[in-house]
Amino acid sequence: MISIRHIKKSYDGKAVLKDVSFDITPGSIYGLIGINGAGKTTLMNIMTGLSEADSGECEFTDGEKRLKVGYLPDLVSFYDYLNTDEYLDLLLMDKDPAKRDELLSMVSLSKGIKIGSMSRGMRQRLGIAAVLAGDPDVLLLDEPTSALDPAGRADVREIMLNLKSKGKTMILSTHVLADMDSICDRAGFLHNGVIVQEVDVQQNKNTVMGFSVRFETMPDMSMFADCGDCVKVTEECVAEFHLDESDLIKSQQKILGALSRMNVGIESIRTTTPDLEQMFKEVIKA
Amino acid sequence: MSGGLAVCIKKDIKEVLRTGKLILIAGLLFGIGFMVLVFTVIFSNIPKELWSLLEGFDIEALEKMMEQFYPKIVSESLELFSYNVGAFFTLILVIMMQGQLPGERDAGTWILPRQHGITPMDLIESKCIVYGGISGVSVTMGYLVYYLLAMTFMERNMTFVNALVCALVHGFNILFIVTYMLFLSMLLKKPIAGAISVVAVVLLMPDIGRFFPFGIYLPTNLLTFVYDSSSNYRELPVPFVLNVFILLVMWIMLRHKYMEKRD
Repeated sequence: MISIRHIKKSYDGKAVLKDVSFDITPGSIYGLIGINGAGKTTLMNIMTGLSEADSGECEFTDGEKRLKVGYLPDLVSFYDYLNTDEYLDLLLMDKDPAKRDELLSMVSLSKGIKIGSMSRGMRQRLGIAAVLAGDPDVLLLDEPTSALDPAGRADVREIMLNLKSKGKTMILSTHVLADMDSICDRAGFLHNGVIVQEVDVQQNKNTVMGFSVRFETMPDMSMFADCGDCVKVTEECVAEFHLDESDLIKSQQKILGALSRMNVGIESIRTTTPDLEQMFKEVIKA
Repeated sequence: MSGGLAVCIKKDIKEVLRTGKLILIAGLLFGIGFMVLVFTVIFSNIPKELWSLLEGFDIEALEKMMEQFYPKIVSESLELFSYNVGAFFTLILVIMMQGQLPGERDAGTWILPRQHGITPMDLIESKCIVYGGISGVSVTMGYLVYYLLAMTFMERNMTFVNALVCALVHGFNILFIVTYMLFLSMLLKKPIAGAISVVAVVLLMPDIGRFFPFGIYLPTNLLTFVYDSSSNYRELPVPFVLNVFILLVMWIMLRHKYMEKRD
């Protein structure tokens, strides 16, 4: 179990991390969500051992042995005058050319590309290969997709999912919540120095929150009067129906019943799931 | 030699070759040598040229001045060359080197190598070896080339053995200066403070040391030795050992800072 317990850290008397605790299941991806300056990088630095916490502890074990941790910082910096293969040779101390080639192929990079001429996405991929050179059990990835274009983000996401399938545990911090939705198993909202809420992202995806209905023409919304304030017109001809969490089935029946009584054509109906971004906004507001 | 140090040396050699720093070092030395040689051999004719242009011009005073500034004697011309190398070459090297290691550390370039067992000491030591070594060897070679050229054009008064010793001592001077600079840049909070200290010591101490009897024992006497084209080799061991000792103390301080504490 990977366990982060009561981490506290202050800079110049200002508490950045007040009491951070959470657990991570080995082989899963945990997302650390927070606004800029929330202390994500500070927490990553503490977890990786680059910085010391004022108090608290980070335990990386699988019950028997201590797990090896690899860290890819936010703004990863390389020796720009080296080539991709030379950089990995440096990290592998010239001992394992076969592993170097395997790592390059894993992140879809070729040998001999000068690092100085590489795009941000390529550099990020090289960074991941560099972290993997140490064969870590746990990868800490600080904002791995934030500065990338959509294609670069998709590449990095694919690499992360591939690593997960190989049993690697990953902790990633980001404020790009779309990434969290697509790859994380669990996520924690870091705000005001504490993890204020944890979300099971995969379960979240399977939770029906309501329906989004697109009508052919805008119906008379008074028909949904007995649904209370669960209906919201979000754009022309589109209404969102939120289920009452206290009685999901009854609330569902009410909405579907009202929809079936309408004499307006329906173009599409899709279920809505809890929105991580919305949840995060609410947490910050609270 | 540790595996970490070996790969870092390889990396730094690539840096020197690929970023044009070797060309800068060689070009700078060539420029200084060329300037001193040209002024000594060719521009010493200026007074005569002036006399032919301006009748009645007092060329004797100007000739004396040119001889004083650019003596046509091998040992004195080498003194001038080595002083220029000590002052200007060092200044450029210090400017070039002072922010390099702190820059890499602060940019996070060390984070990934450190995860794979490369220590900050490996990274610091390899810079000293590569930059100090290349600069030192370049200066030794430059000195000897200048000696051979000076022997062709000027009055010969210096043996090859003396020139070789001076060339080696000056090479070590540069190696020591670069190492001091790199060590100070990592020990002090502000690398520029280290740069200013090194430049001040290199520029002022050789002259100040001459005024005191104990000056020959100061670490900077290695510079004074070359600036005087001295052949009194007994002056060398004490400053040499002192330089090594000071660097060793700084190395222990650095090791303490980067091996026991986190940066």
